[in-house]
Amino acid sequence: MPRTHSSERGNAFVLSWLTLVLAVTGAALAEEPGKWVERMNRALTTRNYDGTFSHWHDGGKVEMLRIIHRVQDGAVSERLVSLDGSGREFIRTGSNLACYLPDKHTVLVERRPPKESLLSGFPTINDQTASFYEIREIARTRLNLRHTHVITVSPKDEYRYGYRLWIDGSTAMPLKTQLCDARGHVIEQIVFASLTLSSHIPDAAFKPEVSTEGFRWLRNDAPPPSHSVMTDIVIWSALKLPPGFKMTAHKAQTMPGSAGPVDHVVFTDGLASVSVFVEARPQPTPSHDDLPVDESANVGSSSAFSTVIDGHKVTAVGEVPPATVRFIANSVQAGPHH
Amino acid sequence: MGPNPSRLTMLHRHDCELCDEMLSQLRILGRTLTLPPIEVVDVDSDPTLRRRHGLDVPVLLLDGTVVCRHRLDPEELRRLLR
Repeated sequence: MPRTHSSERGNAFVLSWLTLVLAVTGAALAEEPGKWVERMNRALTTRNYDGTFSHWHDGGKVEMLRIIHRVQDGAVSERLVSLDGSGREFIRTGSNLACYLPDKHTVLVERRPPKESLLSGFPTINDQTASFYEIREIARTRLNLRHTHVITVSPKDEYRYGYRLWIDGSTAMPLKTQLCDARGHVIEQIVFASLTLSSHIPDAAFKPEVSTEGFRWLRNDAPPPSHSVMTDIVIWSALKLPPGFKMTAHKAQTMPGSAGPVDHVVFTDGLASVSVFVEARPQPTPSHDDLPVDESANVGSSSAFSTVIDGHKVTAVGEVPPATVRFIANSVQAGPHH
Repeated sequence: MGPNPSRLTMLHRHDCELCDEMLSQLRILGRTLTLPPIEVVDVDSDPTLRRRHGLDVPVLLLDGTVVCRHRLDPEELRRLLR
């Protein structure tokens, strides 16, 4: 009997262990696509790399750029070089950014947030964004002779765009990235033509190629900007927002040529963002009386929608589907949202 | 109702000398050329604007389309306003 008990306990132990292993394995598999996005962002910020990539946006021209990124003794250095005619270069060392503009014979030196990379356009999934996007691995394929995981970050509703990512299976670097609308139409694309990872990148790689002789140097020693700017008094806000969107910035300023102050309010879900401008509307001329004033527009990947609320012109603009700017503009109201 | 009037947007940054210069040049240009209303927007307040244009401030946009970066290009602005 004791033996039987021992055997039963053993079987129970094996069963429990198997159950645990299967559960953990299942959870790991289920989390895997999201983990690839995490690994990608970690690789972008922690690895040393030197790559050439094309950046296409808005259906316009393709720009070729070179990015060099190094982390050495905890210090981040980056250099972004435009390989087209302008020859612009941006060199970041920690929070110091130097912008070399040969076509303007100018060098701008300013302070930027230390974690703000020169290479952007890749989605970051966190607790805020995870609820509104579904992450899946849709294929494994070869790109530039590398084995890649094709990961999609798809919105769960019609209020935001999605991403397709080709992530290198061994380095987790993104070899190709697309921002896509609901029909899969590509809005923006980044494709690496070459990418080299190395353990050491010399200091010489972070020197500008351009000669700055005779250039004008402009320094802006103001502290790096806060990414959340809120005035004390919230005059305009939104009664209702698409799921996940929150107000993150609010500013009132008087614009040249405007009759009164213009409110600028920003809403974001952590990936997508919408700017809303509210200004006092000039008195309508007789020919405009009682006519509808709602207007929609699209410029490249940006959508815009204007309407009139309480005698104010409200314009929402963002790199989001038209439904989102329409939703937010129509929800704007005077006074803070509670 | 006529077409939606054009709108100029200047993306700027706090304590940016080139931004102040572009704004001054726009004011001067406005004495001889009828300009649309100008919005001056902090590029760092909107993550998308910062990502798209943060390295090129100041940027002048006409109805969302880039007119010029860093320095005012009066000829390009005149051409686009025609």
